Formats: sequence, C-alpha cells, structure tokens
Amino acid sequence: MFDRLACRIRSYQRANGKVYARFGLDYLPVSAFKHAVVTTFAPARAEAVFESSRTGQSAVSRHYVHRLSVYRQSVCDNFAATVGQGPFTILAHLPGYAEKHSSLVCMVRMLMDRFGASDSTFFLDDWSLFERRLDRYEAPLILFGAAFGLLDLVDRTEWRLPAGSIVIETGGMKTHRQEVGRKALHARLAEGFGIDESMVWSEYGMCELMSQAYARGGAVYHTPPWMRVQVVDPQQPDRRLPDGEPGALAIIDLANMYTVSWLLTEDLGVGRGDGFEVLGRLPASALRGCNFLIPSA
Amino acid sequence: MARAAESWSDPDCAARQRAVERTLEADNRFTEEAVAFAINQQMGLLSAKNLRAWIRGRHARQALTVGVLNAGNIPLVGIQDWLAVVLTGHAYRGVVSSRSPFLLPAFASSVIRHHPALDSAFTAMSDMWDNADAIVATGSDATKSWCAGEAARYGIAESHQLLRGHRYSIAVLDGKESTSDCDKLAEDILLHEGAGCRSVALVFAPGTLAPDRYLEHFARFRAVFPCHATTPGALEMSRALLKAIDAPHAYGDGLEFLVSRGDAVVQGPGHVRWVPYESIGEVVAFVGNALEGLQCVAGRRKLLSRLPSQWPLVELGDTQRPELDWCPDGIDSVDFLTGLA
Repeated sequence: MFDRLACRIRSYQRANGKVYARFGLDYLPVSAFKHAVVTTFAPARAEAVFESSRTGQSAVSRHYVHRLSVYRQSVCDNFAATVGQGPFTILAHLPGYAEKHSSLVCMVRMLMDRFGASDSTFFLDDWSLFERRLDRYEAPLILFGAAFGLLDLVDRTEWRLPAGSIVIETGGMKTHRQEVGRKALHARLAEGFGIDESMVWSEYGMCELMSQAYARGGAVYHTPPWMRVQVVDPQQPDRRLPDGEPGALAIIDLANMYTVSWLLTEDLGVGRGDGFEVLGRLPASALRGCNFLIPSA
Repeated sequence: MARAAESWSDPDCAARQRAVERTLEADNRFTEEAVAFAINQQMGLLSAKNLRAWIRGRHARQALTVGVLNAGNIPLVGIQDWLAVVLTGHAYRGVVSSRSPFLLPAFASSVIRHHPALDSAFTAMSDMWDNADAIVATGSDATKSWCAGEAARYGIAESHQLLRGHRYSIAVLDGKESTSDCDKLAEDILLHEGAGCRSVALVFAPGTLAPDRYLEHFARFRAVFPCHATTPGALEMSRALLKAIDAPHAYGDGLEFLVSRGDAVVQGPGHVRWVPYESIGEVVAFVGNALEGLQCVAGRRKLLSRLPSQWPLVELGDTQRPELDWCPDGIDSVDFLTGLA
C-alpha cells in the first residue's frame, strides 16, 4: 500500500514539479530547497512558507506549503498516536525559533490548539513565566523545546516537573553551542527537570518535511505510517544499507504531496529494526573525509 | 626504515603487490593508479637523510603506548603517524579503517623485518582503547567528538590527545597559470577522487576567467588517472541536482569529474566548486573566516607570494605530495609525541 502510494505520488510530483522533473532521480537532496522553489503548484498560492533557521553563511531552505490542513492532519494524527488525545498542558520553550516562518513553532501551535489545555503556552525567553506556571501544576505536562534552549533552562536552575511529565527535545544543538551527544543531553535534561530519562523524548523533523518522527525515550525514532525513513549510501541513495551500518537518512513523506516526497537528508543515521537512530550531520563535504569510523551501537 | 622503503619503491616488491591487490578489492574508491602514486610518493621520501632531518633527534621522554585511529580515505594515509610514533620510541597500537586495512600494516611488517625491536601492532578498537596512554586520531568532526568522549572515558588526558577533524583545501587562480600549472591543479583536485583533507575542493578564480582551459586539463588528467568505477554513479546525483536547480556546471566524459560554479560551499568527492571572485580581497576575507578548516591553500608560485604568509600555502601540484615534516592541522606530530610523559 505504502509503496504503491509513494510511486503514484512521485509520478504526480514529477509531472507537476519542474525541479523534480529536471532532477530525474528518486531522492531529491533537501539542499534543493535552498536553491530553488520546489513545488507542484504556483508558489503564490502557498498558504505558508516554512524556513530553516539561519546557520552561518549557508542559504535558507524554503518550503512552500500548499495546504496547511495537510500539515495539521499529519502533525496531529501522529501526535495523537504517539502521545495521546489529551488535553495536555503543553509548554513550549523555543528561543531563537520564534520567527513566523518556523515550521516547529507552527507545529507546536497546532498541537496546543488541538490537544492543549487552556493554560498551554509558549514562554520563549520569559523563564519566570515558566517558573510561575510550574508552581501551579500538579498534573503531568508536556514540555517542548529545542535542545539548546532546554539546556539553558536546566543550567539556570534545577526544576521539578510534575510526575509523569514528558520533555520533548526537538534537536537543533548545532545552531547554538558545541554539540552535546544525545545520551549526555537526555541524562542532563532528566536530571535538570527531575524526571526519569525514559520521559525525555525526541522529535525528528525539518522545515522541508510535513511529518515528524518521535523517539519515546532512548535513541530510536519511529515514523507514522505515511512516512518511511531508510538508511542509504549518501552518494547512491538507491543503495539501501543494512541495519547497523551508518549512512544518510532518506525519507519518503507522503504528506509532502504538493512538493517532493522522496528526500535525501544531510543527516547521518543508522537503521534499528523498524526505527532509526540519528547520529549527527552528514553534509556532502564530510564525504571527503572518513566518517564511518564511529561504532554506532 | 629506508631499506624497507627502497624495497617498496619497486612495484614488483612482493609484499607491496600483495597489499595493493587486497586494497583494490576492499570497499573503497582507490584506483590502481592512485594507489601506486601514493606509495611511490611516500616511499620516495623515506631516505635515511630525510628521516633524520625530520626527527632531528627528538625522542620520547618516556615510552608510552600510543593508540592511532587511521582514517582510510586515501591510500597509506596513516604512514606519517606510524613513522612518528615508532621513530620517537613509543609503542604503536593502530586501528585501521575497513576501507584500507592492508597497506600500512604490510609496510610496517616490512620495516619490522629489518628492525624486530620496533614495538608496533595493529589491533581492534577496544584493545587499542584498553592499552593506549595517548591517542592520535583523524576523521570527521563527528569522529573527533566521539574520540574525545572515548578518550575521557578511558582516562586519557587532553594533553595526550591529538585529534584531527575535517579539513579541506582550496586553490586560488589568477588566470596566469601555465599549462603545467593546469595539469598540477587537476592532480590537486582529482587524485584520490577528491578525498582527503589536502584535496582541493574549492577553486577561487577571477569572475572573468572562463574555466574551459582548466577543464581540458582535468580531462587530460583523467586519461592518465582514470576515475574509480563508482565515481560516475556517485556524481550522478550531484549532477542531477545542479540540473534541477539550474546551477551552472560542467562535467567530464562519462561523468569522470564534476565542476559547478557558485558560492564557496564544499561539495562531495569528485565535485569541485568553481568560485568566482571580483577582487583578491574576497578570497582573503573567505580564508580569514575559514582558516581553521583549511589544510592547504594552493596557487602558482608568483600568486602565493602575494598572499598572507600565515596561510598554509603550497604550490600547485604539491597538495598530494606532502613532505615528511608537514604538520596536519598545523600541529607537529613529532613535537606532540615527544612532549608526552
């Protein structure tokens, strides 16, 4: 079923998208979104444009979203299956991401609208707001945050979230300060928020994707049924790598129906059964060096 | 050492032949021609005089066990570290990459046959960590972070870690390159399929300079040093992407190399970026910001004399021919090793 749909959508996107038609191969590198308008529709008809955060000199990725309703359904159906129906008190700490073109902010706003209790809120840089809110809570809450922002929060003071709370880190270490390994990050967040490490979850997404994957504690992410992540040879993405062998993450996201569903990321990952682990970044330049020395287990 | 090198300089040397054959069968992108080039180039340096001039009597204050993680992205890449460790009197415990596990151990065996007292062994990763007092590692930035973490876990002090991350090289042109310079540039870019930190990944050229003449030399180089069988397939995706986003690019017959014109962004192996500049000041500004990640800045001799001397300047044609005493990442490995205690 998935394969049939993926192929049909690919044909549709080739027939209607100039960039994908010219590309000719299956997995389009996500960097295409930095240099061209990747759509199957007139860009002026986009309901939103998601942009990547600016890092250094590199160009910004722009994802023209034809139907926000598709994004909402993908985000919410996945969240409901992964976390539950709620209502939850959702707090979001996303400093540096508060721009109007952030897909992450849009995603969390949609989650608050659908699943959030009335006291759900972004608290951005206003930490005292978090402090005041926290005093009132006894029921479990869900705290979303970019990894670096959450670290800033626990570096400030020790917090004690209500029992059963979930912290969902959304990655993004590289844009802020020196990279911290996932394991160390989760351990620090668990300690800093006074919760069990199994309640520190991760979300994997990017502005070029309409869907996300979640790791519910631990390192292994799982996708919703309309999204597939495979680990492939970064230079020959049609060569799939066996479980345990690191490579580039290649994604088929059927919810990307109005742009390109078959995408090759610049993320290094490894297959783990029906899930995958993210090991770091894998820009094309890194292929000139030696990247596969690190044991991934 | 010099006797083993002399023996290995002969392509008919049985130990060399066996190691080369096995290397070419391994999962890498080495070609027979590039492997021969690397071996010949390295062996040509290992005279007794050169070795003495490099080491200059520097010796370990205290013999330690030095673990070395070899990258394996180009043939015989870890030989300088091996020489530095054993010649300074430390014990060497090396881990080879699965991409090139035969050349360095085979050469080391040939040397040890003449000098059985040298303490050198190639071993598994876990064994290396268990025994190392100090660590030398080369790899990607991710590898470097991982090594730092592992070294800390095994109690290896920061002063005993020589960790090299990802670097690349650039060439600067002014349009006055001779025919020979153009041939050398081709070697700087295309040998080893563009892999390794000394390979030129970005070519800065005056905006008015047409690349055609240089591309002809790239094609000529490929007639002597054919690309690896997997290179055209590996470049296909990059070529398709350039076409899709309508970016100016050119490629050799059969996609043996790929050149794209655009911003100074390093591309994958075999794909060189041609970066136009209006004034040399733009190159100076770029290098000023990127210096920490650069291994070499290559150019013709007269042009180099006009560039800041603190840059890692090398003449065109020298990037793939490092001297014995070159300092990867600007750090003298022998000084690091002799400073260990």
